[in-house]
Amino acid sequence: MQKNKKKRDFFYREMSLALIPAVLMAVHLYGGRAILLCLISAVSAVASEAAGCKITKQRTHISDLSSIYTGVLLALMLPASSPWWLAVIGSAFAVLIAKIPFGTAYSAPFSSAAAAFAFLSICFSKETFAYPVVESSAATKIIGSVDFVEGTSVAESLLNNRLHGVTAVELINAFIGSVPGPMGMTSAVLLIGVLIYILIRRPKSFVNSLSFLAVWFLFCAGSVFYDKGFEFSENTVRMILLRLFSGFAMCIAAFLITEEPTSPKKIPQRILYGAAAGVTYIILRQFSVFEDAGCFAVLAVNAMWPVAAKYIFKNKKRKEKDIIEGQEAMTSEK
Amino acid sequence: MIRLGGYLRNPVLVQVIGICPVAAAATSLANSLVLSVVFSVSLILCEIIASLMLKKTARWIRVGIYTIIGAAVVFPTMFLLEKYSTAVFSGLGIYLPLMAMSSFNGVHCEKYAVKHSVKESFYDAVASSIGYCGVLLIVGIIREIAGAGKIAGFDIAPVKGLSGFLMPFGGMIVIGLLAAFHKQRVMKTKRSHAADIEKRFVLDESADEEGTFTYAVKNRFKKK
Repeated sequence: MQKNKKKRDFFYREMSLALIPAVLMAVHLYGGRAILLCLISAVSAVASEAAGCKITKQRTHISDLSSIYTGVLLALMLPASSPWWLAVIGSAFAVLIAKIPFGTAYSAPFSSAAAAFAFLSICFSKETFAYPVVESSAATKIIGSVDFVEGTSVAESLLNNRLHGVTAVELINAFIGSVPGPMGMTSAVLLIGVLIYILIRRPKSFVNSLSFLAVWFLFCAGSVFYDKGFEFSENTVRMILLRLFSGFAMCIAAFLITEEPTSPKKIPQRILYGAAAGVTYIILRQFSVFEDAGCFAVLAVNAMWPVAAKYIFKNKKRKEKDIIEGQEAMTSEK
Repeated sequence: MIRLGGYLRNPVLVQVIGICPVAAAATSLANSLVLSVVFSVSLILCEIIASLMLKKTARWIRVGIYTIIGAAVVFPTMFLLEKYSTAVFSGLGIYLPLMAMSSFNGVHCEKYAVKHSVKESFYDAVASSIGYCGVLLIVGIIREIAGAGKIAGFDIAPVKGLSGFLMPFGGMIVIGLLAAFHKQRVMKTKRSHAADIEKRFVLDESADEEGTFTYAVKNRFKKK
């Protein structure tokens, strides 16, 4: 280990460890097909990194594991029924367009997995959100034609207002992850474990996810109480928890928003960054075409943050100076 | 002159003026052809008229006249297109009428044509149109192939294509990659001209800055 390297430069290596349990969970739920998709995606990401660096004549940065991390994370965000070319196109987009033009993974302004998923959900919205039922998948072949039974995910049924009550079994299913949804991101237990890992390894990054989850939790509680007429019962608590764990909320909190290269450095800025992501996520969740447009929220916050931070945090002194100068000029004119 | 205005200081890739139609409407070869014809005719007309007649007119009248000239080119094209090719017409949408008040016309007429002779401004217009139309056509071809799997309306690939490239953000990605490629080419082959790219504008900005709105806002409290 070189001494002059900062701790920030090992972010992807550390977070790749956190992906392993998610991959294992996906394999447990969907069989060999899950690991095949992850492998295809990772190999395609590494291959496109090598090709892109060859074209632009840069030094390759495969050893920082960022492209493998991006590929596997993207595969885990896709449904298990997705065809292989979806993973290939997604990871190629992530590396060739969202990462290499900006240099290394540590200088890219956007979270590349989020960018790739956003691109896929625009181009192939049918395949990207076709979540299979968990039980149907055990019998399917690893390679070849896809014969999954399509199920409705929690986010979709919440979107259509079809859920009025939740039983304890359904909540536990959602908690463990055996509900239709993205391959490795349905299990709330696992993602809470990842959050604890982040808390231990990188307490500063944990602030991002904490403020994001706080905003999202407030919204969930508020909306459920509003629907139920402000009654406090067991059912409302279950509904709040189900809403909290639905869709990409936990995935964003654990993986996408904690990405060190794109997030601000100081604690107050991190709190505001997470809260901004939470507000954007709520708006997109309520009013978007897609079932869950969480990746767009992350991209939007990534893009807006540098500009917003300039006005919120850095320009305070200069603003006061401007005002004083202006007042002086006004008085002297009189 | 043509190499300087069209290639080295390409209107889209270096000066980045008027990229709205390129990013949004240039989704196929036919669309880009129509846009480039309209663009070059209106730009050449505008610059010639501006340098011939408008040198002593007030600025606020001049800008109106550019819009009228643009509209005079755009509206006949619109009626023709509506009659003969409705697919292209509907594909272009609002961006064809918007060409009537293209920011490119305004910038080049105000900053170049009004201060130079007719011959020079004609050459500037031709050079800019060649650069602009070249990029329009390249972007159109790339987006048609990547987005729809077609070229000039004919299928070339069995797959459907990535429909994201037909959207404005796809156009922006293509323009960004082209700009990077262009800069790399210029840095490699014409290294002596690399400083020209950094300046971005062919035109001198400091001379006419005093007439602009931003200048007035910037210096609102300055003592005289």
